[in-house]
Amino acid sequence: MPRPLLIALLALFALASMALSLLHGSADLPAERVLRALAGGGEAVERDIVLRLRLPRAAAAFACGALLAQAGALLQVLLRNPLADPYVLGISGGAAVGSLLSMLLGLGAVGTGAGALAGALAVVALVFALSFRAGDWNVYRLLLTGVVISAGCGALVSLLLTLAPAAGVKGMLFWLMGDLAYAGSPLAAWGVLAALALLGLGFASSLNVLSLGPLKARTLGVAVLPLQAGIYFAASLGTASAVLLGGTIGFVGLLAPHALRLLGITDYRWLLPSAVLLGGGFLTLADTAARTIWAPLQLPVGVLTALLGVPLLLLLLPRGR
Amino acid sequence: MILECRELAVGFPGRSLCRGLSLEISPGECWGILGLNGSGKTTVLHTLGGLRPPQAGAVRLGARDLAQCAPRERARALGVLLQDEPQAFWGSLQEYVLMGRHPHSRSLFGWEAADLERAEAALERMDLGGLAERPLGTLSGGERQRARLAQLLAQDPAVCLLDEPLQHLDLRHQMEAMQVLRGLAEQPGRSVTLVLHDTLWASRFCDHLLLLLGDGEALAGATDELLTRENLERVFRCRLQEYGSGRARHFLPGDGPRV
Repeated sequence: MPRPLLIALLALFALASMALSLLHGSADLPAERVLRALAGGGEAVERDIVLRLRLPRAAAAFACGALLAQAGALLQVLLRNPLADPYVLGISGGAAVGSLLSMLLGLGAVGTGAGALAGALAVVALVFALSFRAGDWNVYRLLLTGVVISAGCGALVSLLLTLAPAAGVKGMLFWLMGDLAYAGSPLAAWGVLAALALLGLGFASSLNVLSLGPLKARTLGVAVLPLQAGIYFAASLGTASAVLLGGTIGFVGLLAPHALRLLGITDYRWLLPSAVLLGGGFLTLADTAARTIWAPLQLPVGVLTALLGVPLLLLLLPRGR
Repeated sequence: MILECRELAVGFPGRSLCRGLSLEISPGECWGILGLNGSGKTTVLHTLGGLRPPQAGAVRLGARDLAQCAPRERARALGVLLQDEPQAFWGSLQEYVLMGRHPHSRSLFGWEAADLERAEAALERMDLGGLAERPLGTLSGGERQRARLAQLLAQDPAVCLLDEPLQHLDLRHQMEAMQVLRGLAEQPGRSVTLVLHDTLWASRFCDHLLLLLGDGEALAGATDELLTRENLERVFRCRLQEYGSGRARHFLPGDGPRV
């Protein structure tokens, strides 16, 4: 398939997923009323439902999925490992420890968010400090450091869950599984997404060269060490923003870049924007399903992404070359 | 463009591969580097290519200290063919060869027509014309080696450093690759330096040699003076027999003991 056509189809998919998300919910609103509410008309209740509940939720889902997909694509080239996903370096673990700790201390919603951010940033700094050597940044050391820190965070999470009072555990679990029901304002995440998307486009051709290996990239004139550090911090920022919105939503960061590669998009100049559209659209769709198929019960979207993603990727795999 | 080094020392902490090496690779020259496995051919080549810092001394490219050149600027003037590339590449052969244009590329999106033409010409010269759309991973070992050579041709640097350019190539493609590389060295302003194992190619195509003796010593100079049985026995530490004459001389190990 020609790449511009695929991008157009992906953009259509993203728009359709947003539209579906706005049209469906526990209140049964016909499409024309949703449109009227979007335009600022109609009854106040309908405006509230569409503009204050569904739109922010859809925007949060899209930003979250897009950030995860982009972070996954970036980490796969940085770590030269196709299995890398946004959480492999422990950012989600750090955020989970920080937020659970804040919950246990009874710091409230704002405190939980702050705790998650602090935990994520602490892990980003710790992994970087432990693995970085000036002049040579061995990505295997980086990967191992991240995996070890991640395992440590996992143990701390289990410890905190054991210590938590039984009534609080369910709320914590939802957060660990990934759930957009508690997402705050997606504005910051959209800002990060816009910045990363632009930055990614600017450096995409260097990323292509880096995918041939760091030494090769240097023979072709890439300043490898600054680029690697830039990828690390960009992917970390993207992952942390996504985790703060929706917790640890699995599979999007791994699935989106690979699905695109299996469709023949291997050039990062096309892969990064495609990943934004696919990841964002996919998570918006999954989140819409999560909050409607079992309504009024809301499923954690992390469960849905895996349930939808596994068969999708398995379907695509035989087409890979 | 001249690539030169003065009093270069190359090695690893606790192990010296080469000391006090001074040489000047001038336009029009074709250098061969010979040495035993582990004698430092690759390390010397990488140091000359600016991929690793020397233990002592300096490498100059034209009028500039190589360490002071910006990466892209260096890659436009100097290209290195690596001995191996562990990285799996997801794209097609054409996309792979186009990466050689990275240091020249001025556009963020896509390639300019000139880049595409150069890549196509490079593929033709390496006898890969019909394979451009094939995924790189589906090519044979020898075809992939030619793809890497084609990428270097597309990069089009004045100074080419190649680490075992003939590995995996069949006899005909070895010959064609050497002819292309020799032709490159004869273009104005260009030089080619090759790590080789076969003395026949060194004798036939190289006008200068760098012989690494493995103990930190190295011999550098004109092929006519250096390509002797005595020198090569010091390099390879075994008895050698000389065959042929003139530019078709080559050496093969005899039955004698190691020396």
